[in-house]
Amino acid sequence: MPTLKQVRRRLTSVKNTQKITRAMKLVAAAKLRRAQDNMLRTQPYATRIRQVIWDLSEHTNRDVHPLLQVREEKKALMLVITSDRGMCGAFNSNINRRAERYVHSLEGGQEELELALLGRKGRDYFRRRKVSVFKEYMEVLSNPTFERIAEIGAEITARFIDGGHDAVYVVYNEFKSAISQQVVVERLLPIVPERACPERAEGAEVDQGADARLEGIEFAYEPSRDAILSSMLPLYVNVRLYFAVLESLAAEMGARMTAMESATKNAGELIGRLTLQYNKARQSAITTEMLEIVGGAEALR
Amino acid sequence: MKLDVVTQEGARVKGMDVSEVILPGIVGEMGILPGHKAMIMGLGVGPMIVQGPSGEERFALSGGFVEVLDDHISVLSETCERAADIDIERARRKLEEATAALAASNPGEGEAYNVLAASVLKATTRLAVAGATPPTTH
Repeated sequence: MPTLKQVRRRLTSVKNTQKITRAMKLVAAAKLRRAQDNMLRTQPYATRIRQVIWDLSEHTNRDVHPLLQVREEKKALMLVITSDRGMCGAFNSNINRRAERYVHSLEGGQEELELALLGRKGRDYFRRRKVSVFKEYMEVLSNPTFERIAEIGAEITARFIDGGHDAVYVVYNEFKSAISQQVVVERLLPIVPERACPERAEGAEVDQGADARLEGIEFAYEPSRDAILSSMLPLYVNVRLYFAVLESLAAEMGARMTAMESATKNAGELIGRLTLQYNKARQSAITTEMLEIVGGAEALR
Repeated sequence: MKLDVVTQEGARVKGMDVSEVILPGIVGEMGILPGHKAMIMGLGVGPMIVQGPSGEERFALSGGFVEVLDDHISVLSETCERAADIDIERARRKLEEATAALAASNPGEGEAYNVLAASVLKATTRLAVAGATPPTTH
């Protein structure tokens, strides 16, 4: 049985921890809202550009642009998007483990897979492991501007075009809702526009309307269909990358909020138990003391 | 006609009533008047001049495309800055930096050279749209 003083000290410490986790939860909730706003703001743009890429590329020869060319996947690149900070449950370890498994099993059938790491937690995880790292992108997540992401996109794209990588994948946490994230692996390059893409199914209602709208209309293309497509493709890569980063950020905040919520709850339970223990210890101390007094008084008689 | 502009930072113009829009197409400037035929055009870097409800408005666009359909003009661009929102000092600085960097590189560098050339063009456009004169170094 710990002494009264020990229990009291422990109780104070747990209460302080609870204050911290509660504050972190509130901060994560506020940041989550901002991250979601960012996603919502970018969504129309991302949807629009995807729509046009699909419309334009449907009847296009894949030789039109290098980003459309499917090669045999000998050497591939996998961009792993993690977070800069911890305290967000299994958010980072899910991603890192998924990427590591992919590298070791080469389940995509590649001969070689390099990693590009975006986010400090991914870097820390893979630093001590035997994987070949193509590039680390740090200091991005604290201020994720489109320009910065576009620089990364340009670098990856250039490497793909000159044949350094035959395919590029992105692994990130998809934002399902504030309380649920899902690790997804998506192919970024080469671009394979597919009508039956699952991404499309989500916005199916909107898109069907758009298809009906475009039915039977002859568009004039200025300068030409292929030229527009070619100029849009690099942008499309950057937009997808940017959106993946935004999703990952929102998912991170959601994960942190959930983790801190349960930490606060656990601390609450612990406080309850410790309070009980404290009261019991206090009670028994009082009882002992009274017995001593009574015993002393008896002895004097 | 209705005009919409979206950038990756959100909608910049939403359903504005316009009577004429001049856009910086890849192949050259193109004016769009009511009744224009359906068209998809690639956009370059340059000014967009709009005759709107409150007179003429100017924006700096960079890249993207425009779709014209049934008197509805929808523009998707990497950036779209209203003349009043442009920070002239910043644009000037950017132009000087980019011009210097461009002068130091050579066209043989391919992509890197193009990126620099594009940033010179962007800065020049922003200054022009904001109604400021580019510095004499240009």
